[in-house]
Amino acid sequence: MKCGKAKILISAQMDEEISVKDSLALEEHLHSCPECADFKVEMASMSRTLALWADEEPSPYLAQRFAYKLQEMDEPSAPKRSFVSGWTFRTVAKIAAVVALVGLFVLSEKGPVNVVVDNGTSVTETATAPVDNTSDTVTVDPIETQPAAEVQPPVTEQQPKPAAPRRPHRRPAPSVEPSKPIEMAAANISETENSVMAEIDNAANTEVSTDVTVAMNLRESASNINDTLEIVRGNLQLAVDNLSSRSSQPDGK
Amino acid sequence: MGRFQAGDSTAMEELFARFQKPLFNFFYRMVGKRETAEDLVQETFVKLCRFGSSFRGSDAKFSTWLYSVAGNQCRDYLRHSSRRPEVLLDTIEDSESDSQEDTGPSTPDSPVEEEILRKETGRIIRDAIESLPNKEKEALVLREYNGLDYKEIADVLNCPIGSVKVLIFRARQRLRGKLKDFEGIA
Repeated sequence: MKCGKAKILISAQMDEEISVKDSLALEEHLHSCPECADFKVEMASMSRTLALWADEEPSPYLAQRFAYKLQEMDEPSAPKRSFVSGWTFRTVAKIAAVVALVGLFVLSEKGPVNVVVDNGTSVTETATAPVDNTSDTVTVDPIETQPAAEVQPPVTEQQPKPAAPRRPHRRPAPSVEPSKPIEMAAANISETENSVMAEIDNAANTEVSTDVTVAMNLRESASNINDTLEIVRGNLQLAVDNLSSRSSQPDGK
Repeated sequence: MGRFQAGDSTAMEELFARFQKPLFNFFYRMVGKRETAEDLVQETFVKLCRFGSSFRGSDAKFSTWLYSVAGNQCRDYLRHSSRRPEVLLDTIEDSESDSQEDTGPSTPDSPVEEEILRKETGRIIRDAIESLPNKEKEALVLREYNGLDYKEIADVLNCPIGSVKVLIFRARQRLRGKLKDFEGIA
């Protein structure tokens, strides 16, 4: 047996990971090789030295932190997926923006509008005159108007899966008086959409090891979108109620 | 783990309590920083919660699977941290605390001196292990400090048992040179 192989076997023998046959051959070699015999003594001494580096205790708060994390993960509002696909958030963000714009048109003073609002219980009003939106700075993507009340992340087979993440069209916030609730909601949605898009782009470019942090950020953005959608939903309901009350008056306004 | 897969939410906390210390020490010996080690422990168990349903095996194999996940976390971290050199704060803290302790009177075999000696020994060994290549370091730490056998280490490192044998031998050979001058208490 050569010394090179013998030294490897000496190391394995310390860990009891050597066959009986190799053990016998090694012992025979050690009888005739003082260098390898010294090597075995040094290895044993070093193993005792390594054992002197005792285990450390982790922080007593580590278990508590993990318990909080478990609770957070068990919350029903938290998404169960470890990574939310970008197109789902894009679609939700677009739907939310369209809903806000529909509400904006409903309460605008420009005249009759085309409104299709389905609150789940009754179909709504429609008008004939086109919308004059020259004072609006908001542009609309060519996307079908979705029902306002039931906004859920749809599964659309027609949605293409881009090979590379495409930059969505960033709509500027509507430049209207911030005191109006629908405009405020639209501005919130636009701002939230931008932050979600930034998070999605960040996630697309982020290595795996930080996906937990990015997932947490996405979760927070989703929560923000949900809150904004609730505001818009409330305002749209108010608009529908207003339209219903107008149509019931004999003159109408 | 079977209880966790069956929906017992307390099972994960029990698993955490059982494995947090060995996992923490594995990460601490690999990355050299307490806070990072604790973060990596938490991330490992978060992954366990998310992907634990895919585990199929006995309790003995579970520890191997856990160390595999931990090993991947560790390698990811070391890969990214190598691009951004960071000072080991623990090293600075140790040297600062040592300088403070040196000002006091020391008596032979006193508990204070023993503590200083213990810390100094740990620091020397830690510095020596820190200088090893990552793969050799990981194999040695799993063997010497976490008690995994060669088969388990091979599963964690995803390499043959023969490679594990050679990795550990090389690590010990390098350490032999670095710790040779250490007038240790071994």
